[in-house]
Amino acid sequence: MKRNGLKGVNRRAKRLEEREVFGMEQIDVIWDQPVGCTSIFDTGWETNPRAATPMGNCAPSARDLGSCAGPCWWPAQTPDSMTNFYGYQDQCIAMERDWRNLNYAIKVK
Amino acid sequence: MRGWKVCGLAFFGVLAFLLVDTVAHAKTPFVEGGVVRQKCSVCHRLDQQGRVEVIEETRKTPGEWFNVISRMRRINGAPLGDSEVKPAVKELCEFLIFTPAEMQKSFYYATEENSQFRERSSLMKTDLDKRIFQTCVRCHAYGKIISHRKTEAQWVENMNMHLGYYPTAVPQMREMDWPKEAMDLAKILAKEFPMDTPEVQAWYASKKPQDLAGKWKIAGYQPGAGYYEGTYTFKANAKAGKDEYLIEREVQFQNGLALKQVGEGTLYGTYHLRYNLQPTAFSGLVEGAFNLDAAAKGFTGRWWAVVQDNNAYGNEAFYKSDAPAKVFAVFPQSVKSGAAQTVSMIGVNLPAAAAITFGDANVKATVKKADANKLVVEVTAAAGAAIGPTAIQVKGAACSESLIVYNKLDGITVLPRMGRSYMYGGAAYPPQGVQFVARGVNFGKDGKAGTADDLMLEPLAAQWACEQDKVWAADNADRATFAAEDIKVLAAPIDNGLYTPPPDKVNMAPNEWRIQRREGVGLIAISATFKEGAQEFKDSALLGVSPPDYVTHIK
Repeated sequence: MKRNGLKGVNRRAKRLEEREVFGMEQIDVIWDQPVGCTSIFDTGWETNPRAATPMGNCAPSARDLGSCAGPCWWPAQTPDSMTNFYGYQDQCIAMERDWRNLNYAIKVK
Repeated sequence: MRGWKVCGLAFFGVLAFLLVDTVAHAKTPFVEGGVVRQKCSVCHRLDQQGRVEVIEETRKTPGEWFNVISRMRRINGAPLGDSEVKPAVKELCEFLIFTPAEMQKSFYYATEENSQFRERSSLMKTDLDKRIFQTCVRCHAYGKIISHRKTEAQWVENMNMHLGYYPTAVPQMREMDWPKEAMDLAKILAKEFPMDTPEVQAWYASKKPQDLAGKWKIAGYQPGAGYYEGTYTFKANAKAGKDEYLIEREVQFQNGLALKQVGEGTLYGTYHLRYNLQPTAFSGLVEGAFNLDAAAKGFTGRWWAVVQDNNAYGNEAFYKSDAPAKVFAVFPQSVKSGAAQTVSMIGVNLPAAAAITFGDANVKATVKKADANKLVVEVTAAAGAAIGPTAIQVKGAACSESLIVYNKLDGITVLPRMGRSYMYGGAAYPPQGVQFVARGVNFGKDGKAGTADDLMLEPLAAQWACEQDKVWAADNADRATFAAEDIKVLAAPIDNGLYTPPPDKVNMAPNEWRIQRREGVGLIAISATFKEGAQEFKDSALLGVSPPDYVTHIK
């Protein structure tokens, strides 16, 4: 995780530098991807105040769903609009107002 | 002349290629005119071993075959129309389904709404389970992983597929070197969940076609509604094809409710039944999944309402009218010592003069009414009868059921211990409720609560209420603030243990007064109070309300 020119300035950031915790420097693929929700101004799952319980996300749904669906952070839980469900949210320009318009992720039996 | 020689060589060359090709391709069990060879083999050609490549290197539950075909149509442009999906799954399940023993372990994933509560990290006991939990369960349910069997090459390909389709998995799983861990795990999964074993081969060699047409006797239990019995009538649905059935269902609940439903069902892989029943005035669209014990001619499994606002589901068994004589359900399942109590025993081909005895001689029974499918019995457990389960023996019929004998009510318990509800997310995502049940508890021989010999008794008619959670928030002031917010947004009337999120306030809309302007999520306690004479018993369980299930469960 530690890269040239980057230095953790608080306790949480310093923890991210610990190799035994992350070991990210061993990964030699897709460095072009933004690393972590924090780089796209979402708070990141580490900050989920309800990590021990099954409800709530790192951010309220109205923001979190848009973030997850776009860069495809949680493709198993939200209908990602990159690979699986193109245009899933097209009818929801502003999720906090348009959430009622969310469509089905269609399943066929 | 030379031209003829060349032509002759070319002819024999083509002939030899065709022969080799035919021999090499002769291994696959999928017929050339079937959906798999016609549609899936557009990409999945026969490999050097004569298998439909990739497909014949995996086995899955029917639910996961539906999932895979759905993904192939969505992403890979598989040329299957809607009407071809089920025939494809049926064909795949003929040769590549789980064995009944394998299905048993992953069945909950295909049938239960709250399956994630079987999968908490604290329940993962083996090192393998812990690794799967860390590597896969952050995104998937554990049940999904164990719903697949693959060759080692395909487990590796599965991990590669994730890197290709979902590369953000790597930074998302940033606390580990996910590609390395996933590849290491692939090799272990190939041993733990292998494509082929002697047991698998033995089951495939022994499986036989089944004819479900006829009458079946039903016994079941629906939380919140109670015990019920009834009849299925299966008729072959020749128009729809092999292993397709028209179904009539008639059930009578002990609380007086009678239901008549009709629907259609399909038998996959000679033992796995999936059906849907049309809505009635008292029930919505219902789906069900059941597994057949071919020797006993009986199914066990679960049905559920598709829209889960009332969290309606039932655990059910049904046996064919020509099955060997058997009692397969007894209700109620517990009796208090010192008083006579009526008990119903449901079965098939029960003897006219059934004599019933118990493991404990202090428990006596008198048959009051008997027919081939039901014995109505008056059971008396003497004051000296041993506390605990006592085996039931029915002369002339098999019975593996038991009856719990208890002497007094010591407490109550609310189940599930933690329910999970979904908030309202628009027309596509109706709210999902949780049906809680308060059951009586006897503390057993040791008289201590919370020990292994505690006896779970019958459901009780309790008084219900929503309360602020004090358990999770006990040691943290920030959490206590959340808890105070949660009860404000989630509180709702609870009738007969059923919590359904009120759509007008438990929804996806941001609440300006909440921290982070959060929507209708939270954690509260659901309490039940029951009075018996002068005694009052109280217990509570947790209820979590989360955003909707955007990617629908396989069931």
